[in-house]
Amino acid sequence: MKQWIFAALAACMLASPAMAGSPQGAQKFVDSVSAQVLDIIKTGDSQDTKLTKLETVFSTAVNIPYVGKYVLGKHWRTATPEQQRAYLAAYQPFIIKNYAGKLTKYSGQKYQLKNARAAGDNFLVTMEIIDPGNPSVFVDYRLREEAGAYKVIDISVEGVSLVATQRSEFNSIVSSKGLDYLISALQKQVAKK
Amino acid sequence: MNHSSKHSVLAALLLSALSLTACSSTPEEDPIEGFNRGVYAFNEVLDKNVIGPVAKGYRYIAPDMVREHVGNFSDNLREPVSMLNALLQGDVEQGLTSFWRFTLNTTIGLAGINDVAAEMGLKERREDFGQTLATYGAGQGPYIVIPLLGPSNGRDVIGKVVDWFTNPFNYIIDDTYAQVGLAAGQAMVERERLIDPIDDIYDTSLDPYVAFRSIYFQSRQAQIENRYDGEFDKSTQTPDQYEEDDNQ
Repeated sequence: MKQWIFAALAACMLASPAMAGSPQGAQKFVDSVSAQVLDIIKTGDSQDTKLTKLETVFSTAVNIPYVGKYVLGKHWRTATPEQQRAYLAAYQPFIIKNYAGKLTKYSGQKYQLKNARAAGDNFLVTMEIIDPGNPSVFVDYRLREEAGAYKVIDISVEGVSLVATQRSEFNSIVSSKGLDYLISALQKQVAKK
Repeated sequence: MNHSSKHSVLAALLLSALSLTACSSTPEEDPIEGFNRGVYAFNEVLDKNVIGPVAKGYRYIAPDMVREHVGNFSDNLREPVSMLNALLQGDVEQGLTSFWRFTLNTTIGLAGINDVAAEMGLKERREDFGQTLATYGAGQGPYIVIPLLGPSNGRDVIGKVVDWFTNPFNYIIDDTYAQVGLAAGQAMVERERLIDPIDDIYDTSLDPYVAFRSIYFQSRQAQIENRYDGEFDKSTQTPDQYEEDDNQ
């Protein structure tokens, strides 16, 4: 946790102080988080310990409330404050359970950061995951800088955005069955297994 | 099918492809969702019980090295169609890359089982007639789930048929059963490559039908734009969907 804060601080200090973040700062941030993830995976800890640590890294690196609001789209605005609270409370464990665990599937691939650029108010950092014997996989991280800290707000694999996909799903569910149904579906999914 | 009837089929398809231009649709338009969901339900049962398990069996039985060679062989057979479509899109450089990939891999690479061209820096990039139509400005048409084959759209259905007729191997192999058998084998190679992402969707998605639809639209768009090719200048040109939204 301490290392994490230092890495984040270092990334911020390297970014130009006059601007609200920079592509280089965003890239350094992605690099430091990736290094942290690799360190956790390579330790001799039990799978459970690793998973707990990865979940901490994931929930610190990703702006989960921002993503949660975004994927709900237009339905966020029409939700009551209680629904908004219940939704975010259900969304947080849902996204952590479904995505932090995937990081444990790492099996010796190497990564290389290829490109960092501004995209509107955000930054995009492209990573090439090099897997000998298989075609490379390209991952785009979308980041936002807020109060001096970078946070991930979307991850795209080969052009498929996690946020865009979830947004389509949630919109379809809320339109046909309502927000309360979505909230209970999220809770059920988390309770599974 | 004799040659003149093949030509009239192609002509009819091209005409209907051009008519798609007139009715280009917004992303993820799904006017026949009811029908599509029915076909999706059928495909999911088939995939979970037959196709997926066969792909997992293949992964279990065949060592990594064998699967790599089989995959290279399968990919090499797609190269002529990729070359043709790169040229149809006016991308001579990529057409030549494809030409040399096919030539080198078929000869030095021993009938395509080794991707020697990739080691020389000639990377694979798939092109097909669906992508070519998109670069000509044809709209994607309605989303269509095809029994057995899965997600597609109006434009890509036409593309798939044209790809079949422009694939030289479907003329070299003069037996319909052998042609279909080869295509099924190639489909199995692709399904094995997708075991983990598809399992993830089945495990985590709250509405897999919509997840597959969204993923299909997004990944086709990235392929059409050749988004991860070269220096990424293209990806900065694409409209920034995240910014266009006003819900935050």
